Amino acid sequence: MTITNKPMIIAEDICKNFVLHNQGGQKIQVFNNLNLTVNEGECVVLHGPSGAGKSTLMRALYGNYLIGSGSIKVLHGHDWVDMSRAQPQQILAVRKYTMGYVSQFLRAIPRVSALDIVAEPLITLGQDEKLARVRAGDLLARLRVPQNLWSLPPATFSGGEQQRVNIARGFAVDFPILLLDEPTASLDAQNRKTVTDMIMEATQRGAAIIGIFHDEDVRTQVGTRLYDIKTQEQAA
Amino acid sequence: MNLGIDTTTPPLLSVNDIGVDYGHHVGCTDVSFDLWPGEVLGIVGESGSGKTTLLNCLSAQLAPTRGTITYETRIEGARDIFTMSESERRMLMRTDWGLVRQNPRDGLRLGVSAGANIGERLMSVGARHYGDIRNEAAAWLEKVEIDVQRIDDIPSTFSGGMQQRLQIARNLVTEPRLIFMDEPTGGLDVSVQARLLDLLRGLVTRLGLSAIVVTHDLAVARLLAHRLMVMKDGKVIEQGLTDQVLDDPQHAYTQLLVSSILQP
Amino acid sequence: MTDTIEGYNFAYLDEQTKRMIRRAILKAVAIPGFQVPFGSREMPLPYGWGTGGIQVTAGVIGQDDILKVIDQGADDTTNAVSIRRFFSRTTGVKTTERTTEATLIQTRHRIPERALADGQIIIYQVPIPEPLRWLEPSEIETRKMHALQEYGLMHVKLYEDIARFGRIATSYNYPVLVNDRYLMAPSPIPKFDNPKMDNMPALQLFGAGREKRIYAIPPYTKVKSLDFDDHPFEVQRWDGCCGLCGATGSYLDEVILDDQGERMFVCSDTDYCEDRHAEGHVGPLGQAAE
Repeated sequence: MTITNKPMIIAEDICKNFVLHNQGGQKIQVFNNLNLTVNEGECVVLHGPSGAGKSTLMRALYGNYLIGSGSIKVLHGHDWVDMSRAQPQQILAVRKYTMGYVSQFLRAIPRVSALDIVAEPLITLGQDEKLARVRAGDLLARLRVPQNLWSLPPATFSGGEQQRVNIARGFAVDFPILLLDEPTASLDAQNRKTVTDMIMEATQRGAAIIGIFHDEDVRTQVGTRLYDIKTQEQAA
Repeated sequence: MNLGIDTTTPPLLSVNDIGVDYGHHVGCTDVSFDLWPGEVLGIVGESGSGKTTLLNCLSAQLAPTRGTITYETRIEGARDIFTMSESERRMLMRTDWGLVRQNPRDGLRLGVSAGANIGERLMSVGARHYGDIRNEAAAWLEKVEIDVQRIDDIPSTFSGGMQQRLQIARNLVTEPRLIFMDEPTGGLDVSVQARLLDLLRGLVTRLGLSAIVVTHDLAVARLLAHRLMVMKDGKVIEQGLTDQVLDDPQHAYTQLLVSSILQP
Repeated sequence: MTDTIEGYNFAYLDEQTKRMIRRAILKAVAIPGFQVPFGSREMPLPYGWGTGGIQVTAGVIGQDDILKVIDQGADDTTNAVSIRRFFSRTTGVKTTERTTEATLIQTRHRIPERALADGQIIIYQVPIPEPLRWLEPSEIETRKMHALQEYGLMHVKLYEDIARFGRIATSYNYPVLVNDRYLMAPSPIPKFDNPKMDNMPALQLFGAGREKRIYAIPPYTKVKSLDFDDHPFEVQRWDGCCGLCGATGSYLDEVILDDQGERMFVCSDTDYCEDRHAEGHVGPLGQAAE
């Protein structure tokens, strides 16, 4: 599968500021007038120094952060949804069916086992619980999470193990769009390779991916295009 | 936790410009929102924010000073809660709605057995077969992880967490579509809280319940609610998608709340 | 014994009071099983001794009535005698111990064994008229429950009994549903007597003096004792029969005969027992009639 001309995400003229009311109304401008279009089969690597707004941009695309102006259109089924203006129910629907997100840190829910955390997105989509857990197990096994950990809640796992559970969860469903925020940060070389393979497989099947990778090797392997936040801003 | 919430169908609950005054003192005001089947709305705020007043009004225990609340009933379509007859309203509260109070003692009959507590709603809508009622009660005890052997014990012999779970079972036995919860984990030990939240998450998802949860605990809100309303001094000062309100708070007060959470 | 007392109105109460009581009775008859509040008067005996029943009797008694008064089925207990004498002295009305002869029967805690007829009135003495009182202490709440027909709580009590004892443990003052509408306390009659209330040809009136309530069941009204489908209502049974008359179908009292624990069972309804005895029935401990 090669990159097509079918856009999946169109971000136009987006601006993001933070106003810290409790610090005297201090205003932090993160980015201004950004434009980004990502097509099917692309893996866009967000680039820029720390604090440039890479994670912020990703969260804005996911609907987790609001934007000051502009629009973020996402292809959800056959319709375009503007994540910056959509109703909460719509954003949740997009996240359920269309857009996956692997954050930097796993948010562990007390008492829920690693296997169930990974299976949850599948069960939410209506898949049979048993089958969902089988698939979850396959992913965890691929990422070399020991089987004896699968039935435990991940709160006591190591950083790397938690991250791998997080990744497995993000890849459980074949989302048309994937957002990856430093997925390989806490991983050893072997697991980095596995994740790299998983990302490339996703690109192969036609997913549109946006990622932040601090590891240069991974970047060059999976990335189809580089998007530099700072220069994009300046270019606008 | 995210179910497909279909906003093309009529909302289950429609709240329009609700305000409750206590004499000159404003309990809550200018509250409007819609709630769809399968959605959980969290209402957060500190003491005095008006969230409990609002919940009491939404759950028809307190008449509003202004505004209307419309509920999409099973058979008769959209009905205004406060123009219904008291008999209809009480029937609604016993069948299609649930109310989980902060202190389970306020929501249970402490003098009758756990089984009777769960069976009461069934008996009040005409169930007359002892064996069936008892089996149903036993099934619910299992669902809320209370040992079935305790079906004949009275709730005053239960721990706080068990009482709270019994209260939940008592409310869910008639398969309500809308549950109101007032600080459901308040006063419980942390591990007990975790267990209860896990149970609630599971039940909400599996049963497709809608819920309105009042809490001062933002972590509970993040775990249970799809949407969040932040209240201060009787007003809703911010509302939206839960993770958005908590991760990117816009209002000064919300920012203050979020930044005040202790991290263990 | 039938000397009427001077200086008192017929049946002790003044006429306006009797009218007020009759109005309450009319309302009660119009709404079977519904507790009608009334202005209970000071009577020459304390609360708890039948003032409600006496006021209802005083409200309906007329010159041509024939009054029978029983207490736990017997005509000859102290209270029955006192109340009968009270009416005798304040009305001059004829009294009787025979159920079949009476037009008015005031009773505490029993219904006569012999079926009552169209035209008779039975008046029950009631301590606590509210069947839900022990489950819900609030009067406001119980009134609402009656108004909205919310009787689930009563079934909760019966459920509890079965859960705890394996059967419904209530054996007297057993709750009934009247005319498929109101939950009613039949007064502390044994549940044995409940079936007699169903479709009874006589008018049934209930008076609670201390609680100030009157209620009624018009003739031929449906009265159903509460139960569960799989634990149906059952009456008491005895292994033996009446020691005096040999009856097996009446409510039997237990009488201890000596310090060794010897006991006998005897019909609680004295009139019924005497009738049977007169007809020639003799029980194991009885003697033939002269």
